[in-house]
Amino acid sequence: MQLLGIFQASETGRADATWQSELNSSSQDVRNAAETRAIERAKQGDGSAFEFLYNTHKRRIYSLCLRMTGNREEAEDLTQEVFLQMFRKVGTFRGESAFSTWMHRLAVNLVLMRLRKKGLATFPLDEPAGQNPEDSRVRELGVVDLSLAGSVDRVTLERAIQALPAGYRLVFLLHDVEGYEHGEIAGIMGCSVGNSKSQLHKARMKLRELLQMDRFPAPETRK
Amino acid sequence: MNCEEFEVAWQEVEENKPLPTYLEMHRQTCPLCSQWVADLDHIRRQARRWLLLDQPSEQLWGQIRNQLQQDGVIKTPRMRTGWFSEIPLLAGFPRWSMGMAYAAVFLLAFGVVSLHNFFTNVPSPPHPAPPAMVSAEVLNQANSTLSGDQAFHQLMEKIPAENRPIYETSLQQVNNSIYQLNQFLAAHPEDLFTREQLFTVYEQKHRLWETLVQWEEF
Repeated sequence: MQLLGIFQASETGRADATWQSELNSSSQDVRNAAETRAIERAKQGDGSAFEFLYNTHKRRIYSLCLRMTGNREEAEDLTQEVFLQMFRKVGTFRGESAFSTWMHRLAVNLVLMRLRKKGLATFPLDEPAGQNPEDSRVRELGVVDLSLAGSVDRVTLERAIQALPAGYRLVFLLHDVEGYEHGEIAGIMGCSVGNSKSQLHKARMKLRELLQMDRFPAPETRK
Repeated sequence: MNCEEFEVAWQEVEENKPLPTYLEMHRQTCPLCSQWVADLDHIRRQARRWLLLDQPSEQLWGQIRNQLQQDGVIKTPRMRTGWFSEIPLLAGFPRWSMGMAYAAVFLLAFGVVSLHNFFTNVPSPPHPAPPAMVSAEVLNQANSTLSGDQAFHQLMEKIPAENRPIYETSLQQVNNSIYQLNQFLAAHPEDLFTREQLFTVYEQKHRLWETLVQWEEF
């Protein structure tokens, strides 16, 4: 937007230009500083700060909503709801946890609420590890190495993720896709670190099993 | 260590950290566990690679912003007002500075066009292009050909001394207008009329520059 160049002398223009460059910067520190400033300005009702926060987090939130609902329209609807709630409540954000964690907690609550409304079973958060016989460390392993075979394409993976139970899927998305640590996931989902680890392990096992079923015949049994 | 023990211990290992020696030894000696780890790692990498590519439609932010504005969460910038805003006749006082800027723009435009015609005998274009259309070009040229006002002053030095003051005054006026309009825009970024005025002023500055260049060519 070349036309905007002449407005850069204005305070708003300068801030926008700085935020834009900071958004593109690879430095996490700069991003964090920009985000902190944006949060403060958002608390004062600054529209450009809201836009900055939206652009920073829209992919992760939308991706989470999309995988949890399996429907683009519904995912957009849910994304909108998450951001609206987040912006309305931004004044209550005290910085005790990372902003993204705080926002994901909101998103997860809304996603779970939506799934419950639809009558979909979620998962018991207090389920101790290894109690479910179905997940009791099935000692199976495929003969073919998935990575060496290059067998996991995007469509297959998407389908397998959709086939996971909602709870497993959520932990898998938060940990393995979004990169949250178990402590953060426990904070987001209101469960223990042990439960987060357990759910993730089951999710991975199930996912692998689904991918193998999709591609390969009966797997070899481990000792 | 058997495979089951390996699997239990492996769950506790944080991502991106090396496996403890005893796990690493088992992994190296057990092809099944080695493959198991490779599979899970591959799934994770592929998921991270593909699943964050999606993004919501372009319209979504517009919808969110509209809703936030309706709710009063996004606050539109307020005009700076003072005691005079309480008096109906003076309520528009904050815009007086804008009025002055507009007047300056028109006077300046008139002055520059007259100068242009007087010295070059070239009639000014009867229908100038819309400001929004030409502004990018003007801005480009202004950015590329002028480095600040230094270039202006360098050219002015080549003009006969008796004609120089009028150019200096014009340049000062155009710079004042740009400053005032920018100030106003900082407080009222949504004011499209001001933006158009700003484009016009930049055009005038560009025309002033052209006139100076023609002087040099003479």
